[in-house]
Amino acid sequence: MNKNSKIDFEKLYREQYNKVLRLCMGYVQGDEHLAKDLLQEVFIKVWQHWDSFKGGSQRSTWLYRITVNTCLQQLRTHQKYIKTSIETLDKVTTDTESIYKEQQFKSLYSCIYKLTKENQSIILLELEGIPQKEIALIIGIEHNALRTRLNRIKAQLTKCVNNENI
Amino acid sequence: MKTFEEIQNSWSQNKQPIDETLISTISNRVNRLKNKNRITIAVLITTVAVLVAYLIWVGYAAPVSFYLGLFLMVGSIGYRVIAELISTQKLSQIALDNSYHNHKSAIEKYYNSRLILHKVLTPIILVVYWVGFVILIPTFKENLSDFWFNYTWISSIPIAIAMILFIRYHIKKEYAILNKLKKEISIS
Repeated sequence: MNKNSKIDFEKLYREQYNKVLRLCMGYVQGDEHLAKDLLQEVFIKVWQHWDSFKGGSQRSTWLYRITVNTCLQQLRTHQKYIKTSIETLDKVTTDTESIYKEQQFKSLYSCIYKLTKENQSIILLELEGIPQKEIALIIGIEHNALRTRLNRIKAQLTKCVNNENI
Repeated sequence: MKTFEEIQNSWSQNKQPIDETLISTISNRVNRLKNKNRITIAVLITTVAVLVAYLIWVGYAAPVSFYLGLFLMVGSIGYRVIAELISTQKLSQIALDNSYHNHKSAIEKYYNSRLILHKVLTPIILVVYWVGFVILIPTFKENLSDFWFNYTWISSIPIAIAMILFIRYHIKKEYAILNKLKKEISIS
């Protein structure tokens, strides 16, 4: 990697850090420590494949494809990412609002985890506000099929989150 | 969080301070991975060179059966190591910037080829290895003391068991990954 590429890499890292971290957290039920391990794997792959970017899409679309594929491959091959329960998000919080928020995120991660890995990827990208055409390209399905699928996942997720919060 | 829009809004508010130290960690890990590959190749070349030198030195006036046995044993293990390296290389060549569906298909194809490697190729390689060992037994008997000869053939039993367990472990591992891959996609 030459000097200019390294500068571009660091720029991309800083710009996309939170998006990639949130995507990774979505796959590991909000476990920040595991998500950071995933994020590290993602950016190692980004570094290694930096020159393979052809420019046919946006750099961010390229990055999200690598993120989804790397996270799922890590989940398939490493047992440490498979969690049986949510014991995460246990930062010390004292005020009621923070406790309430934390509880909401726990139920959100739990609901996302109930989806198939493909649907998890779709909804996580949607939660990030990535345009649906771009999500369709990242997942590799038709835009119309994605739209229909997305409506169903959104309804499923909203219902689940509201039920978990009762 | 009553509606999806509310969920989405809370989601994007979850921001963490950027971990700047990770940039150098990533850079170091990439360099370590490059060095690891170089070391693996160097170790392999050295091993082959040492084995060839040993073969020439020890087997100078040895019977053909010695060469044949040793060749089958070393050759089969060497072939398996090379097959493993090629397989690992194939995995790293699967384009990560492909769509999820295309990447998943390539990964499935890769793990199916791994299953063939473990279920077909590895047992053949092991049979060849043990044929080589059996061919070498008369040479061992002739050149080794009773203690070392007994030690050699008795120790071959746990080695054989370990090899079978190794194949079993890898077949189970590849099946587990293939099962996970099957469950990733929604039926609809």
